[in-house]
Amino acid sequence: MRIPFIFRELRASGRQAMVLMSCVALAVASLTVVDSFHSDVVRLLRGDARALHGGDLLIESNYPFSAAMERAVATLAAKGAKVCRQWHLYSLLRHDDHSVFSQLNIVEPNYPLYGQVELQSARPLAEALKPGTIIVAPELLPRLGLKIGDFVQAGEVRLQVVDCLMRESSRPIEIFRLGPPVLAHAADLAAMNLVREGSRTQYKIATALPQGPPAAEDEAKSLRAISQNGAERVETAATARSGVKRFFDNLLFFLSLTALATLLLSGIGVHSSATALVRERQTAIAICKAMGADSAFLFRRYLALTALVATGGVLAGILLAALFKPLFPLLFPGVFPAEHITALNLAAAANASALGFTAALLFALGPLTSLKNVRPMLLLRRETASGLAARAGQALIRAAVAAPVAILLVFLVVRHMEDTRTGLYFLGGLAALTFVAFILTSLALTLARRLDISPLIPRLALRGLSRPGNASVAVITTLATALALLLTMFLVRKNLEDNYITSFPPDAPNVFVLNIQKDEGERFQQLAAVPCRLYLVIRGRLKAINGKPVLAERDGKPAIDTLTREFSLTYQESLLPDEHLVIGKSLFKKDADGKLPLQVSVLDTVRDMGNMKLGDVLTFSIQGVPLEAEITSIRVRNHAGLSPFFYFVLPPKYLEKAPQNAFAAIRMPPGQVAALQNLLAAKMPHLTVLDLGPLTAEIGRVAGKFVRLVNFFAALSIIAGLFILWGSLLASRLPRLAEAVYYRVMGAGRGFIFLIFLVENLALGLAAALVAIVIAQPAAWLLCRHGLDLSYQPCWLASLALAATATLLTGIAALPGQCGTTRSSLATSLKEQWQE
Amino acid sequence: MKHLLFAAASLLVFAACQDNHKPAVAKPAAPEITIVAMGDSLTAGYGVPEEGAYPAKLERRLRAEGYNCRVVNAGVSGETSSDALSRLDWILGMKPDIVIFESGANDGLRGINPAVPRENIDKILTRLQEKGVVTILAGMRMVTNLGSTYINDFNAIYPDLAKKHRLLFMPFFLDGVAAKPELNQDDGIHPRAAGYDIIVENILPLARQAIAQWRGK
Repeated sequence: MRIPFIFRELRASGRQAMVLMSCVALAVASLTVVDSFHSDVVRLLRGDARALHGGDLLIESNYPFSAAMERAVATLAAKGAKVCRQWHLYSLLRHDDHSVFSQLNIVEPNYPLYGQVELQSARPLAEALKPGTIIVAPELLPRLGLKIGDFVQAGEVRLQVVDCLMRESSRPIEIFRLGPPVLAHAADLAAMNLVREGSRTQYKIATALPQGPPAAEDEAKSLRAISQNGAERVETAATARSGVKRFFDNLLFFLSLTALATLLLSGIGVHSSATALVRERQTAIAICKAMGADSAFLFRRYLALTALVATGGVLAGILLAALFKPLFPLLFPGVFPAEHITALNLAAAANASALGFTAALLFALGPLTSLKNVRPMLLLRRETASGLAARAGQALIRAAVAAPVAILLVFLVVRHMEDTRTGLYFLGGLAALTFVAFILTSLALTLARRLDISPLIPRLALRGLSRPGNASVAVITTLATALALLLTMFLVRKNLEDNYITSFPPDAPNVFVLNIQKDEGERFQQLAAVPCRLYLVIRGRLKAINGKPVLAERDGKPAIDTLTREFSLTYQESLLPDEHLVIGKSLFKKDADGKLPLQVSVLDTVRDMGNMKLGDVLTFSIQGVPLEAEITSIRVRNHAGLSPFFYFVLPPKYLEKAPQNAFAAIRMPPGQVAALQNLLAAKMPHLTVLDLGPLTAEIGRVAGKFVRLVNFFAALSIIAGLFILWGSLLASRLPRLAEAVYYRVMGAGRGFIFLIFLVENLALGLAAALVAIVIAQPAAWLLCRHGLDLSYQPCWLASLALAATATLLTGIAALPGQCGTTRSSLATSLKEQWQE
Repeated sequence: MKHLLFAAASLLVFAACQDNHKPAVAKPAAPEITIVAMGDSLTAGYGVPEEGAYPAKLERRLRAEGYNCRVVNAGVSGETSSDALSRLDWILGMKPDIVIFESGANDGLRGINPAVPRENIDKILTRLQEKGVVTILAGMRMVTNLGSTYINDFNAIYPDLAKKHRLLFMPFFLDGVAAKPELNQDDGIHPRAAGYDIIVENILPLARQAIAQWRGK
C-alpha cells in the first residue's frame, strides 16, 4: 500500500523527480571522480616528490656537516638506509682560452636515489659518469668550444666530457641560475680541490629509507634535534616545498572545492526541485489529508520518495563516474600516464555517495516539512503552499529535523577536505554566502518595490517579483548563491591560470641581461642584435610613510620581505604594457603650471604591505640621498609572470641623475642564447646573462597540461547551475500560471503577458547575477590570496559577462514555461489553474 | 635580483687587528664629518635592519667616542664594481670627507674576469683621490670553489690597489666573521647583527686613522 503510493507520486511528479535525481547524480559523479583522481594524484605526487628531491630524507647545509650529524647519518646507513652525498657549487670550467661559470653538481655513484637523469646518449647515468669524466649541459659545448670526448679543466683536474645532460628530475627549478649545470663524480672531489676551507658549497645528503616515506618524518625530527644552529636543514620529500608540488597542491585544492561546489549547487537544485514537487502535488496532499492522512504520515512517504530518487541519483552518479574514469587518459592525454590512473576507487565512491545522499536529504527537508502547511481547506481556497509562511514553531521543528543531517553533512565535508579548519571555513563561508545573498536579495526587492517606473510592462514585471506566492526572495537567493559559487570558482580558476599558465606566454622574455650601465644601452643593443627593452633600475630604501618610519622588523623576523628591504625603483612617464591603474586617473598628476611635481606611483602589492593610500608621502633614501614623494596613483599587474615590474615609479626628471643601471628582457630562440652569452663574455664581460628558457619550458610543460582538466570540473558546476535554474522555475510555475489567468481575465493579450513574464524573468536573473558578483568577488579574493597564496585579478569584464549570460539564460530557460502559460486559451488556462 | 648572492666567504681567518690606539676625542664644536659607506649587500646590510648594518653601528661607536660624524649607508645589494663605478658621481655629490669602499664580491661570485673589477676599482679609487676624499679600502677574498687561478687573480686586486694608491687598507672585510655559522645568516654569506659588531671592531681603528688624516689635511 505504501510502496504503490510512493511510485504513484513518483510517476505524477516526473519532471521534478528527474531534476532531483540528476542533481544528485551530478554531485556524486563529480565527487567520486575528483576523490578517486585525488588518490591517484597523491600516489603520483609521493613518487614525484621523492624524484623531485632525490630522497626520502634530505639534509642540507652551507657548511660541512657537524660530527653529530655525520654520526646520525652513519646510524641511518647502518639501519639499511641508502645514502647519497652531493656537493653543489659554482665554479669556472676552462678549455683553451675560454672559461664558463658553471653550476657544478658533484655526486656519489648511486645518484640519484630516486628519479632519473636523462642523458643525450640515453645511457644510464652510472654507466656514463665514471671517475675522471664529466657530463655537461648541451649549451656549454659551444660556449667552451668543446665536443664530446674533449677534456675540460675543473679546479685542479682535467675531466673528459662524456655526455650531455638533458634533464634531471631531482634538480629543482631555479629562476636565477647563473651558469649551465654540470655533473661530476665524487671520486674526483679531492683532486678538483674546489670544496675546501673557504669554499661556497651546498653540502647535501639524500637518503632512501628502507621503510620509505612513512618513516621519514620521525627520522627528520630526530635529525632536526641535533642540527647545528639551524645551519643544517633537514627536510623530507613530503615537506620540502617546490614550485611543482605547490602547483599540484593548489590544483587538488581547487578540484576539491569544485567538487564540493557542485555538491552544494546540486543540493540547491534538490531544494528547488523538492519545492516544486510539493507545490505540484499540493492538491493531492490536501486530498490525502482530507481523507485522514496526517502530516507525519505524508512527511514519511515523501521523505521515502526523496530517498528513493536520491538513491537513484547516487547509483546513476557512480555509474557515470565508473564510465568516465577509464576514459580519463583518453580525455586528458598527457596529464598523467595511463598506468597512474587506477580503476574507480571504492572508498571514494562510498564517500561521495554518503555526501550526495545526505546533502539531498538535507536540502529536501525544508520543502518536505512545508507539507505540514498544506491543509484540506486548500481544495476550496485557491492558495498555494508557498503562500503559507512557516510559523516559528514549525521553523523550530524543521531545524530539529535538519540538525542531525546537517551535522552529518558537516562531518562528511570536513572529512572530504582532509583538514578540519579548511572544511569548517568552507562551510562557514557558504553559510555566510547564503545569508548575505538573502539579505542583499531582500534589499534589492525592497528597492524594486519602491522604484517609480512609468512604462507599464517593466512596472508590472517588477511588481510581479513581489507578488504573494512567487517566492522571489527564495528564487533569487537560490540563484544568486548558485551564481556566486559559480563565479567564485570561475574567478579562482582564472587566477590559477593567470598565475601558472598565461604568466608564461610563448612570447614572454626568456633571457635577462643584468648590470647594463647607463651609457652602455646602445652598445648592448647593437651587440645583442635582437629587439629588446631596457628597464632602468635605481636602488633605494623606503624610510618613512607620512613621516612615520617603516618598521625594521615584523614579528621578530629578519626584514627581507618587508618594507625595510632595498627596492628597485624606476622612472618613466607611462605604464608598462602589462599594468593598469586601479586608483588615480593617470600615472602622475600635473600641477597648475602643467609641470610634474615630485610624486610616486606604487604597485598594489607594496601598497598592501604598507597600507598606503593616495596622497601619502613616502620618504626614500636613494643610496644615502633623501627624497620625498606623494603617492598619486596605484597600479596593478595584469598577470604575475616573469615580465619586469617595479614597486615604485617616479617622474623621470627626479631620478635621471640618480645612480642606475639597466637590465634587458629578451625573447630569443633557445639555440641562440649560448652565442649571445659568448659574445657578451668577450665584449661586455661585466654583464650577467640569465637564461630562463629551461624554467619557462618546464613550467609551461607541467601547467599547460591541466587547463582542460580544470575546465572540465568547472563545467560540472555550470551544469549543476543550469539544473538549479530549471528547478527554480518549476517551483514558481504555479503563481505565474495564476497571474497569467488574471491578466487574461482582465483582457490582456498573449504577447503582453509574454513580455511581462520575460521582463520579470530577466529582472530576476539580473538581480541574482548582481548579488552573485557582490558576493563572489570578495570570496574569490579571499580564496586566492589566503587559501592559495596567489595574486588576484578581479576580472570585472568576465564577471559582467557572466551577469549578462545568467540574465539571458534565466529569460531563455523560462521561455518554454511562459509559452505554455500564455499560448493556451483563457478557458484552458482557467481549467488548468483549477486543476492545479 | 634581490636574492642574488652578494658576498664572499673564506676560512682564511686573519688575526683581528689588535689596536691599542686610544681614541682621539673630538672637540664638541668640530664640524660634522661625512663618512660614506659605499659597497654592496655587505655594506647595505642585506637581511638585517639598516640600524643593524655596520654603517649605523660604526656611527654610534664613533659618536660614543666623541666624534661628530655621520656615516651614510650607501650600500646597494647585488652591486658589482661596474655598478659602483657608474654611481660614483652620486656618491661624490654627497661631498663625503671619508669613503669606506667595499666592492667586488659580486663580480667574483658571478665569475666575472678579475681584470674587470680591478680596472673598475682602480678608476674609483683614482677619482676619490682626485676629489681629495680620504678612502678606506675594504678588501675581499674570493671563495675557493672558483679555483686557484681565479682566486689568486681576484685576491691580489685589493692589496695591489691599496699599495698603488697608498690607502688605509682593511685586508679582508669579513675577517673573523666569514664561515662562522653563528655570525652569519642561513645563506652562509651575509652577516647577522653580531657579525657586524666584529666588522665594526675591525674597521674602527681605520676609521679613527681616516678621521685623523682628514683633520690633518
